[in-house]
Amino acid sequence: MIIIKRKLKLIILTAVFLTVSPIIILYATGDILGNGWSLLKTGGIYVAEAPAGSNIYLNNKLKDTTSFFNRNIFIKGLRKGKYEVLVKKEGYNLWTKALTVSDSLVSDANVFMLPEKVELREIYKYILSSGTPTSTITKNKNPEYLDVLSLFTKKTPTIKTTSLSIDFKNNLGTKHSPIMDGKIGLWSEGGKIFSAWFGSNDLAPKYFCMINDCKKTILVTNLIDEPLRINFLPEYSGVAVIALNDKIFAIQIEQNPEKVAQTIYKGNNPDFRVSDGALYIKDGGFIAEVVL
Amino acid sequence: MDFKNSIYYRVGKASDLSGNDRLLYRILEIIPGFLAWITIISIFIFSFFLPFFSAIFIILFDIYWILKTFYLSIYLRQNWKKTKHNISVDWKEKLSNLKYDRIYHMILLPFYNESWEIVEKSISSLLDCEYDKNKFIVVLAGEERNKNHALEIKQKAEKMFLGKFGHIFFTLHPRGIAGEMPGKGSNIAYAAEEARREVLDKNSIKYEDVLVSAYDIDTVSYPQYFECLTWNFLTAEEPLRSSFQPVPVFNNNIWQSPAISRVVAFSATFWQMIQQERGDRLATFSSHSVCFKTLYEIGYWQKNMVSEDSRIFWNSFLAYDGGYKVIPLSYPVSMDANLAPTFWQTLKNIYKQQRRWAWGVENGPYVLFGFIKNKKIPAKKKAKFTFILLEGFWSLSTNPLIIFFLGWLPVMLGGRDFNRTVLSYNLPYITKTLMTISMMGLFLCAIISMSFMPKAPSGYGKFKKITMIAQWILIPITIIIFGAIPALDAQTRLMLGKYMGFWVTPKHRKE
Repeated sequence: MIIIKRKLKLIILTAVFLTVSPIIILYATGDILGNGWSLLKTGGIYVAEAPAGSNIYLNNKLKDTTSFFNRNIFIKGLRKGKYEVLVKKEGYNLWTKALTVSDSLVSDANVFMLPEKVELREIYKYILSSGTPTSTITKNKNPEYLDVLSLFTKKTPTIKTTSLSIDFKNNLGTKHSPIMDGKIGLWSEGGKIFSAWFGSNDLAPKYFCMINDCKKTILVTNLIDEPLRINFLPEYSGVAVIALNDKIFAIQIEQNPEKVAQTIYKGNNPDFRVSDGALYIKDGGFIAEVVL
Repeated sequence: MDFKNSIYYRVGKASDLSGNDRLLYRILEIIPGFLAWITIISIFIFSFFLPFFSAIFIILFDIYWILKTFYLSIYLRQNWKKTKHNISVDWKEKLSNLKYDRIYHMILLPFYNESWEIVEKSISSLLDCEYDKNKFIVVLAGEERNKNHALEIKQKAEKMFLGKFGHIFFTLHPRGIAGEMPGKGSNIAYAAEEARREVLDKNSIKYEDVLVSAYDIDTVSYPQYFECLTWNFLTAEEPLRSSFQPVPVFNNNIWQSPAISRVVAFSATFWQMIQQERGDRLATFSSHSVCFKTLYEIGYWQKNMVSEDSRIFWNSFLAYDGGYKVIPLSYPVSMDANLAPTFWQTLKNIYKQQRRWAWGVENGPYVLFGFIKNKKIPAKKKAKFTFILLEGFWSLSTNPLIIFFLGWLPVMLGGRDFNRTVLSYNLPYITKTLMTISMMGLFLCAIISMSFMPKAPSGYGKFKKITMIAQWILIPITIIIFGAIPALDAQTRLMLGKYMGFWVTPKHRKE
């Protein structure tokens, strides 16, 4: 009797296994049941690195909201075609992108959103100090100001050499001597900003690829004039920062022709430096750190 | 040919044989480790070259794991209820309907370097038992390797317990006997034979009237354990073709043991409880009992290998041509959880103990070899036990790794093409969800473990009690570090012919 009961349990659980497994496998591969029990293939969109509390819209329909613990959203069950992804968060610039979804494949979208008003922490030239209550207030030069200023006065910026041991000799890099971040290079040629991947094909960042087409070198943007300076934006992956005559802006490095650009600072011939993971800007005597 | 009288009956390892037999045995020694490693390596290879199929396999395996967990938890719950019931039963009352006063209990207590406090607690627990103490033959089995300590224990035991049992008998297992491996098996085999000559024969006690309980030195009996054992023996269909297995609960020092030790200890108990509900696949483990007549016929415990506790079952199974079984008692005996003076040492001891238990894999080649050589065992039985054994070894060393570790490999090794697929994005999510569902069983583990907790010593407050429940979140760690890895370690050693010796688990109790 006990053996029969055990066999019965085994039979029931085997039946459950045989029933549940195909359903979960189909779900996992993105296949759904269509009319007349036919199987339809679907794809998905993966929205990554959206700030916590962002609303994710797909073709103007709210799909999900990111949280502090989950800043990545995977939207599944999408039939193949073009989709408009919109990411909104109060106080931030909008982020939007058109993505193509293919059967059984996922299109990636690395969100890049800066606050509408980028916060700047001004670094003052002087700091005030006072001794005893009877003593006078004195103005002392701010050592931080001097440190940051020195970044702007050095003729050759100090950027660490890469695994490729390539140093750049100017503000814009060159094809043969690009500005490096890991194995990603950046340079400007007559206003055209390029980025290149110097690692193995299989390890290339997703933004160098569209569906299955990965390129070693991609055009980041085509400016009318040669920029004053270019570099990688600290704290973000795959974002370039560019100084023009009237502003400093950031732009995503993407193979996708629809790039997202966001202004960081507007001014008169502003310049910037990247040092120790921080972005400093200088506009005349005004020096500030961009709070990223 | 009578298998018991063949040269194959007492094989410890391949080198005990010669010619083709040796080669065959060696191949059988390789199989468990080979199966484990081929599984692990295949997952790596498939994840790299065929990540899609590897991912599908992992999802199917996760579903299988959940259903298996659910299936086993049914037995755990059943046995928990049965064990609780059996503890509450008045076995004396039940026995009163049977003629049992002829039954003697020989309790073998092997020791090596354990302290007097541990020995004393174990013997005292026998005094607390309700069974007639005049029917107890307590055998304290020391080792000549630690002669002074053995004699000291003997002296103290005589002073404290002489005259309180029918017989209390001391043996000193000689060191360096050719063909023996120092360890529990050789010690208790020697002790049982000495007790036969000096106690049973001299007092004309019939072998079939003696039930031998091979204890560990830290085994503590519940008050009616021997009534329960006697009842099961007297009502068994074939008492002389059966061993009797209590539920080993490692709770003597559970309050003092760290959380990891507690989780590992209870996991072992729970596995034994599950096995108790599947008696047809149960082998003896740790403390167990058997009739002396059977023990004498099969030649006691094997002396040239480590896992004598389960080997005695397989010896009997092969000797009686498959006509032997283990009767689950669903009644607990208490033993020590791993505890050392330092936390790090405790962890090391847990690992070593788990590896020694996993070294039970050495029974695999012995049984399979015996199946090939003993033609009298029905083929169906051979097929069943071959599957049970191989599946058991394989799942112990690989399943936790597949579930908690290798499941991510297709995503890591699958390359760009795979990593753009819906399956690649869904795999971590599905694996995580299925694992979370399978963890639901931990609630049951927490509830059952609390029911086996002895009364908390003074100074152990509410916080400690909370940790007794919260400790179960350690399962994913313990199941790999103190489950799969020591098992893989043991199987790899056997595969490579690097045989293990007997490692005595140090017993330590904090006040």
